[in-house]
Amino acid sequence: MSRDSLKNTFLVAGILCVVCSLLVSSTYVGLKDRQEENKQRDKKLNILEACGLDKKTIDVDQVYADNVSAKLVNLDSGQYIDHWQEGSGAEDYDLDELFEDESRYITLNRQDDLPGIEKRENIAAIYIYTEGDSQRIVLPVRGKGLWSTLWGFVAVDSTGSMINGITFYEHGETPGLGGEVDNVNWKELWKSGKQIYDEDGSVKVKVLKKGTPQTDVNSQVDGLAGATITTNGVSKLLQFWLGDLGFKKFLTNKPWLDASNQPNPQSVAAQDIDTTNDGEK
Amino acid sequence: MAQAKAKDVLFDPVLNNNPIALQILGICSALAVTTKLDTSVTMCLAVIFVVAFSNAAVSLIRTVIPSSIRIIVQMTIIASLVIIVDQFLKAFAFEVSKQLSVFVGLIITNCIVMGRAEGYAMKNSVKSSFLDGIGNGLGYSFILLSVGFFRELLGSGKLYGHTVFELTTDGGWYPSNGLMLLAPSAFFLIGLMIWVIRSFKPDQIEEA
Repeated sequence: MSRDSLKNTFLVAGILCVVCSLLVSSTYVGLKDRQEENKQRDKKLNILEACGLDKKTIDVDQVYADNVSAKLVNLDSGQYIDHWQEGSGAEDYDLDELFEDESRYITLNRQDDLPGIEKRENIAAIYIYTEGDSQRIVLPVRGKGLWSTLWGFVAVDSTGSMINGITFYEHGETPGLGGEVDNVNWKELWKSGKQIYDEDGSVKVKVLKKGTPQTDVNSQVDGLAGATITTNGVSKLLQFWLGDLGFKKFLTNKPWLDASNQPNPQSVAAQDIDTTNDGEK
Repeated sequence: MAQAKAKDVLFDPVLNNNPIALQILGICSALAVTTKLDTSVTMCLAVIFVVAFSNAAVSLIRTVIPSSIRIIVQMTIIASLVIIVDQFLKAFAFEVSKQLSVFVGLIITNCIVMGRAEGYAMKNSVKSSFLDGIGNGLGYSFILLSVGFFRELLGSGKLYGHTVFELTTDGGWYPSNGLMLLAPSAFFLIGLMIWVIRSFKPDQIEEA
């Protein structure tokens, strides 16, 4: 059979495709568990990083197990809830599975859908980080940047009115430009604390386009150079997730201050932590 | 081509016929991943693996590949290998794979890989194709590691994450050179390296 015949062409192409897809899919299946484990660990790491911890100096699994507790929040009532589906609590929260049932999410109309996420879950998993008397409420956020959906966490202090940290653990933005949302130096800008709401209770915290002068240091953050769309995406996702359809009711109700909800009894007096500008160190 | 010696096949591409310095291929990733040594090393290993095995695979089936679809066949092999590497990195070197992000996937479009498959593996035995792949991977690595070395040292005062020059921001004496952290510095460094290599090997200079 000549190698350039039509038959041989199809034969070679066919066999090659089968062999290659077998190789690729068996690698994927074989390594899936490990990758999943890495992802979970990375998520934990990001929760801790949002709270201002340095990954280099801590044992992530240990600190996470000791200081972080996961909770479920009903976004419509702003209160804690025990299960997101029959028999599943905060520890097995799975957004993909949640979206399988139409009654568990709302479809956003275009006006409300600032971050371009289409669906919003009715019950979200949040994390409470407790260290001594201070608490951080870590909220999951997501929204479209330029190319991809950014997945991240926002850490709010126990007054529910100040952002103290932000991290993104999954995104596909341009490395070096929008991809800098996970740059340590940029995340550092949030640590001083940014006021979330104005007097009327609407979200005022904002990421400015690079070069725009700040008019309110307490609620504005410099954007990333060369990444206007990613920067806007971050602003919009904050506006959404901290707004009425997001965690605003939860942040107003502050169920974490309620003694009966406390994960550990020593930290009841958590209200009076320092909410003023910590200053950069 | 006459049967070249295994040693020449393996080491020629490092200095005499370097894919980056002489053939000026694969520059894109050389700019992107060289701000630190650990990403450079991972990238080098990934590229060596992909070029070596894609060369061997292409050479293995070179007599049956129909010429009308040969580029597609090579591409499919290369792409599969790159995906496998990417999956392994995600499983065993998660941190680094996050930093490398799209650049692992972009090995598929690295001209060195395709160039060797089409230019060498299609005409040579499996063994020498495999060696040629490793050799070209080493040539690529040589440049990448040199660039990575200088960029990390001068840009952040570190080598492989360990502080060598104490930075002024940490109370030391060395003010970091921000340019070294940006892509253009890799251009300058590669340019300088080409200059040095060609000063020692004048036969590499092209006719003006």
